[in-house]
Amino acid sequence: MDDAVLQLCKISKAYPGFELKDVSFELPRGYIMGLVGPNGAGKTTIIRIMMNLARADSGQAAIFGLDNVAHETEVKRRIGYVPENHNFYDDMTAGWMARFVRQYYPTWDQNYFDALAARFEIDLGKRAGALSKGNRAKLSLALAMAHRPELLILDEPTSGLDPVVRRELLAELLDFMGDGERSVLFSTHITSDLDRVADYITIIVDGRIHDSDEKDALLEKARKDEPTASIEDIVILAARGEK
Amino acid sequence: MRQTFLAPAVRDSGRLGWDDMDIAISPNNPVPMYQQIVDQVRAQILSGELKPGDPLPSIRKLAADLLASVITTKRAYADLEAEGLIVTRPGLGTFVADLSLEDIERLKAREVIGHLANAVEEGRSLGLEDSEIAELLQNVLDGRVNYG
Repeated sequence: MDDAVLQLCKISKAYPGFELKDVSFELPRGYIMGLVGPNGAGKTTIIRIMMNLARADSGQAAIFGLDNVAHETEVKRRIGYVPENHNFYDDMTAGWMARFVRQYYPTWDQNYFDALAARFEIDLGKRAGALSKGNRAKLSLALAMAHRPELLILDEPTSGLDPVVRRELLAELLDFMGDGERSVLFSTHITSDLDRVADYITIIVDGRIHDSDEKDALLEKARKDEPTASIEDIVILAARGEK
Repeated sequence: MRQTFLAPAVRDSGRLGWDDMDIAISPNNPVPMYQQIVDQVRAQILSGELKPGDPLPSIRKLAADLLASVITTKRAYADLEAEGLIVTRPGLGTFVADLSLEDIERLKAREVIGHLANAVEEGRSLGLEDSEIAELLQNVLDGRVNYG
């Protein structure tokens, strides 16, 4: 793929009792990829390796065509990252968090952040620790998007949120994609979010890539046997080991 | 449970022609999402809700409005273009094709013939005579139908 925003090549990593084995996939620029699989399949580990928060035992990750370890600072400036557990200074206000984060991003767009905060109805004067779960997720997304990154990496961004808030976040993601220069990698176990918005799906089971393809192609394949098959059905079959 | 999502009527004022557009697609429908878009846009063009030359939203805009993926929307537009229903003018955008009234009548006829052909096939496979099928069609047309 000539314009892959993200390329993983045979990433392996062993922890006691868990092994990520030869993980390879690519995300072309301008699209949304869902990374799905059962809990404990290795989704968060893959993301942590991309973010250089964990070291792979072997294999390479190239982001924007650059090695993610050798070019860590440049790569990270062009990424927006929402970790699974939103890490805020809970005693500080949401507005303070924005001023804290912006100093690391030369491309931070304060007007865009303010617009996002207004759209998400986040009270910037409120302590981060006092925000509702939905508002914490929204603040986390606004903080990750405000420097207009080329790649958004979201680890379970909709987990624990009600359907209304999930819809809002998905709509915001599609808006963010804009002109086709931006891409999203989105790990989730709530696969119904991906039935709609994902262009590509990568299924990971037990530390190994089960499949990585266009969502429509995966659905078409599954629906030959079962006309109403969803991504969830595909993941369940994959987890049971029925290839 | 079937879920649908209506495109927001007007989310910004920059849209032309699409504001009254009313498309509902569902990932739970066994018909692929791109096909649902194709079917509904085709129906709106044939019924005259969308007129020749009307602008359509960009692929990414429509994807965002429908909460559908870009690839899905791209494929829907490609299929509509292959059917000759829409045209993309580089740098300008996508528009309903310049179909003449005869074109539209011909396309409508083709659409209906497809459904009628299925009904005829179904009737014959159940052992009905063509005359009986014709009578049933007349009953349907006259509203004299007992589904019980």
